[in-house]
Amino acid sequence: MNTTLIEDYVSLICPTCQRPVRVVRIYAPSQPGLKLVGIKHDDHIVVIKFDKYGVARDINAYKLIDPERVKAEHFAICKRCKRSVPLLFGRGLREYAIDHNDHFVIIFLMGKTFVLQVIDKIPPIRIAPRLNIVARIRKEIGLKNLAMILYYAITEPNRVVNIPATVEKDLKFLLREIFGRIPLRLRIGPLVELNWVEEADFFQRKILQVLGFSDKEALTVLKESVEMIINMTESFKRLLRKKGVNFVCDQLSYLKEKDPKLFALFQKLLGISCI
Amino acid sequence: MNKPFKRYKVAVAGDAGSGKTSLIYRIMGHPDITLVEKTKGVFIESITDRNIELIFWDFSGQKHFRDVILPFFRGSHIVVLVFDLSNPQSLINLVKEWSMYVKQALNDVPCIVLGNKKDIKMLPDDFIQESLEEMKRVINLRGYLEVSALTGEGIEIFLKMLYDVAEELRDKGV
Repeated sequence: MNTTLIEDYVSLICPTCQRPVRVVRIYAPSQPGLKLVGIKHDDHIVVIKFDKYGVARDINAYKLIDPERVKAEHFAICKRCKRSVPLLFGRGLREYAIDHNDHFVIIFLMGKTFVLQVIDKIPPIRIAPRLNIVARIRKEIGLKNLAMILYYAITEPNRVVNIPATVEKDLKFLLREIFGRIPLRLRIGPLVELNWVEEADFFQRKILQVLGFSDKEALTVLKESVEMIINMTESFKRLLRKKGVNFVCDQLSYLKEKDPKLFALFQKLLGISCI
Repeated sequence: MNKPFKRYKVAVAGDAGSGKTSLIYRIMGHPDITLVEKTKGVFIESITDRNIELIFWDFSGQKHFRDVILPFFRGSHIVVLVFDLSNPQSLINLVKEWSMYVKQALNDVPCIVLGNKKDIKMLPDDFIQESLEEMKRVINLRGYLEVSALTGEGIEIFLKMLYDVAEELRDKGV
């Protein structure tokens, strides 16, 4: 079983067409600042922002306009190649892209004003799709069990959890990447169905969100999601000490309305019960 | 006569990387804002002046946290929307997305828009003004300022503007 994270490509899901976008991994030269690259994706382009660690931090898509096929009254000049760029005011477009061979120009329109942004173009890569580490574990033990493992890792560290040998290497790697250690006592044995609790729903949603990503991006999103829950819990604990339980329950009441399962998770982690 | 003590929740929102946490660090007097890391979820800090406590809820701008943070917008008394003066997408997203979130969750709450990273400003003034006009149609925009969390430029004026808005709320009995 392969658990290496040395991936030379990135796989993400296009926000426009929901199909995978695969490109070579790029490293931004330094922080602060992200390196933006654009990929042609049929009738739109996808812009990915990479950080200095080569992690894809953001993805946006822009409608691709063929300048030969549009009539424009106003034009700007591309800063890189000095070709003209049509400005399509008053057509309901707030942002769009033009293909200039080795680069894209993104045009942002606001009223009668505009800003141009030049983005380096890179080709998509063609490789056989493969399951990322999260998808592999899910395939072996199921979505709900994986969500419960993440849930127990936060709420009941050191809990004994039986896992099949086929998933041991991947699961240990995933837990180390997310938590910096293995926060559960994993025992090789027949998988016992973990009793589903609704508080684990958040982790289930996050797992589903990253299934189409490459390993590095999937693990980054999961890691940051777990850190977010831990950080928010710490913030609420501080508020509990400073302002009391009523204040915290008041803040959580909006969450109760919008996302009752996440609300239940915070109640559990804070050890409070809001009426 | 002393005015009564009030506590207001201030939501600070905008795209990832626009410098929201750096601004809060600058306000709190942290010596080195270059140590700021990405916000994971919500970062909560408070300051007190004029017998008013402002509790800043600094929301992560990352897309994969959006579903979690948006419910916490509710209950805010003031919203500070931040964009990066060197990044047009961050301003477009204030107009397209963040203004809508504010409208849906908070309706008419007073908003201040901050253009951060003035030291590396790239966006033209007319583009910014048009964007603000668009936002005014959706949110209760009370002011716009350009600041730099890095150099500290504009931070004092921002705090004064924020406290003026808070005092108005107190005077209205909010």
